[in-house]
Amino acid sequence: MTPTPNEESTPVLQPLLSEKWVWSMTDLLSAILFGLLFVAISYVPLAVSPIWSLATDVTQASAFPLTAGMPETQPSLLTEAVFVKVRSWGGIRALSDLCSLVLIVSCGAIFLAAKSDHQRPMLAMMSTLVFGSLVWVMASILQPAVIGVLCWSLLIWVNTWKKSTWSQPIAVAVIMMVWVNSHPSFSIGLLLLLSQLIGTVIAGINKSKQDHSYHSWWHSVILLEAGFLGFLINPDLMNRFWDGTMLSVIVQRPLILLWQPLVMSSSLGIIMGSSWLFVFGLSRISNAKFHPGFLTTWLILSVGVCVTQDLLIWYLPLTIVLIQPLLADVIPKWDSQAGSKPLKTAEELTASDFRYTWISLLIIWLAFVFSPVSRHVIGGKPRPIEQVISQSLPLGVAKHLRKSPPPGQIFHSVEWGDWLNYSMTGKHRLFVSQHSLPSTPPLVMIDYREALARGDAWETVFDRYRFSTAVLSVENQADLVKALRESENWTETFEDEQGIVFHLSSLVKKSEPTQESSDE
Amino acid sequence: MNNQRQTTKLLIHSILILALAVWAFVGLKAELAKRNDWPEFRNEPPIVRPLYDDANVISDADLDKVLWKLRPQLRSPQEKINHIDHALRMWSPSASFSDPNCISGLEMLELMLDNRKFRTSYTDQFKPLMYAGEYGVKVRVQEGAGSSSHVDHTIAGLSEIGVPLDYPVVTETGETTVAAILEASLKNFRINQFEYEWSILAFAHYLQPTGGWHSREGEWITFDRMAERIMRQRLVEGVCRGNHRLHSLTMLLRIDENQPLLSTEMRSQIIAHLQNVTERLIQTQQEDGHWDPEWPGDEWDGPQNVEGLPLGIKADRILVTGHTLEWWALAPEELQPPREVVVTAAQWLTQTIDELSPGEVKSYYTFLTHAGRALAMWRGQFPHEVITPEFEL
Repeated sequence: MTPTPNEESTPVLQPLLSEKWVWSMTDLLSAILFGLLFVAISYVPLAVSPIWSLATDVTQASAFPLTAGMPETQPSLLTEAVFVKVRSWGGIRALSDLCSLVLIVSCGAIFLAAKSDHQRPMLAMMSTLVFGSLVWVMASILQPAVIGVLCWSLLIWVNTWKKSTWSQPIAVAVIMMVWVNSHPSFSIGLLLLLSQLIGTVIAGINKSKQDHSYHSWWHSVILLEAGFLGFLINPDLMNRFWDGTMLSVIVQRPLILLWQPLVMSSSLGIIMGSSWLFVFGLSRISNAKFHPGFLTTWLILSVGVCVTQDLLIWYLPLTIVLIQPLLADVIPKWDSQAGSKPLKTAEELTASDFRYTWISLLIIWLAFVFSPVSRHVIGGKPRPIEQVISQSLPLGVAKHLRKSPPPGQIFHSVEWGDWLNYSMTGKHRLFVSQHSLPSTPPLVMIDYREALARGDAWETVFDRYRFSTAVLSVENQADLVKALRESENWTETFEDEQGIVFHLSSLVKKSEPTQESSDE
Repeated sequence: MNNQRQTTKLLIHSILILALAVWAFVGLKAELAKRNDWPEFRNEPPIVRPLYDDANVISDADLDKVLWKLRPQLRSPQEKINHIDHALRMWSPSASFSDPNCISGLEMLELMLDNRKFRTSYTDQFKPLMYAGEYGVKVRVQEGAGSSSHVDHTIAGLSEIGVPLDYPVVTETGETTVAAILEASLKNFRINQFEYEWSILAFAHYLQPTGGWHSREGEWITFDRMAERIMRQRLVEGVCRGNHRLHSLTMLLRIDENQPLLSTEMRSQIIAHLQNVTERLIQTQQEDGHWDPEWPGDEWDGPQNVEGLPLGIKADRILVTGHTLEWWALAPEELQPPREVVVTAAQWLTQTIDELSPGEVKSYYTFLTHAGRALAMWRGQFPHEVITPEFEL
């Protein structure tokens, strides 16, 4: 058909946004929930964790002399570079904001992964909210594991992509490459890819060749290869696996009791028990099937959480995504996008069709404005530092040590090592931190545990490392606190709610510092 | 056609997986090779000889008297291995005595290294002194009379008296050599272990020149790091009031003169450390010449925290004074105190040993061997070089 000359001279206004930008009421509700999650997460304080060592440019050997001679692996090379940069640019607040944003993006990836199965944003967002809330309630802290969680969430999301295109293995390789150079938890990613293959092969045995609801096992092989290739792009090659996983996680962490088995009567135990019952119950009443790769990983992680509850951070997002097909099958489809979207072509769309979109975007903008992250864009008063940093950090102790720098080697809780390193800018001889853990000889870890055990083993250990200062947690190291209080050779010089500082009595007599408390 | 595509796909993936596996394997192998960089052994350890011969320190007659008193009357069954171990170090394998109560150096050596000889003195209720461990032959430590008193004390003693690594060792499981004891010691060594001074002594004697090696913990070990470890703790800490650590440092310096062990900086640090120790000893020497257990005086982190020996203060004084004279006898000139300090100490030691009852000699025997060896070395000789086969007073 040939257009008339009149039609040619009057241009037709085409909408800038396509019909996929026409959001529904359920999208709006999802945006409200996301906004709430955004604000809540952005106020989570930074905690005791390797963040602090990563954010300093102090070399490990000078701050932690006991690591001298050990191979210095850098499983957090990228994180370290980013953290140092961010810290030098915006200080602690910027670090906090960065970690918040990473966690928010992780939640976004979990949301997309959850939604990919059933295209029901509300259901996906509510599930994501459960994940976000649990992380918030359980940890209430931000730590470098958020970088690992981000990679984990992205990997799960990429694994839910239905189209078997080359973009998927490329994305897997990139995620694994970033992960292996950012956080030592990368082995979990390899586990997922391997489980994916195992699960797909098992599932393939029980289904017909025509069923293409899951990836073929060929595709799982490609993903595993891509992931392994990405993993190998690190300065230590396979040794990264040995030092980052075998030595640090399997050998070192149990030695210093960082591997805490799940206690079923604890709050975490109750959460885990409830989740198992929920998944089991759901599998009984739903006709839908689990994603075989996710199910295999989930089963392995379930066992892993019983051994060490550290794995909960990996278990939770996977569980959220795992149950989606079954949830979608069981919960009535009141939030289905297909039913609520206006069935209009691009030419028929009007401004009012985008009302939920604009309101949703406004809500997300408001969430951004009310979060501390926005300060870097629109300005505003910075939050008091006490609100940015977790109260579990030994703030008073670090301040005291900066004021009266102790000579010699300091004994301290491993969990506090990174904060002390950060706040004392590497001018002291520290013992062990979570960051220096992979480079600390196992015997030192055994000695650390000995010192904290009941009895007088601490005296031998203290002599061996020539500790002249002890920085202890009032709550977690009560036995050693009691022993030092009873010893004539040690004098308490500081105490607050978190920590307590002891010096050798001979040093106290020499300098005669006044007893102070955090109230001063 | 479809089958051909499947075969090609399978081939490509197999090649890729194989390539990745080879890459991973090569990397892992390189890493493992890096961790298996154990140093080579040398069969004949160097003998570090005393540097001085001063008759003012002890006269020939007094030295004979002391050595006669300290002759190894250790022939009784189930004699403490600790005593045999010390006596062997003092007298060396070539010593023999006319006194039938005495055990010769060679007998001591065989008692220690040959389980068949060990069994002639120690009944089955004693576990064997030498036994096959994961990495070689292990020496039983602190498990009663039939065991050694300290980690690697035996291998260190053997190294100091020049026992070659190919000397036979017989355990319950078969025959091997002294090298197997050294290998077990080397592979079990960790820089932060509880007792390390004898291990370092043995390594300094038996290892070929080396730039370092990785311990089983993955730690890079060098003689510099070992010296640092020795100097880390307070001076009085360690067996025999810290004196074995000083002895090990002195031996590192001496062996380093002929075979490079230390960096120039570490050599200077050790010299400064030992000079500081000598200064302290000069300051804390008692009027009659002996030293007390608190010999180092105050350090930067306060006075020494010393608990007395159960054997009493006299034993403690002999222990400290004897050991001090021993490492000084081997130490270079720059670490020496004024000679009158040595003379006064040696005179006190000689007189005190002379006054000891046979019971006291028996009780104090381990550290008396250090005192006897020290006095002989101040005459430029080892004890077995002073005596004749018909040695008697």
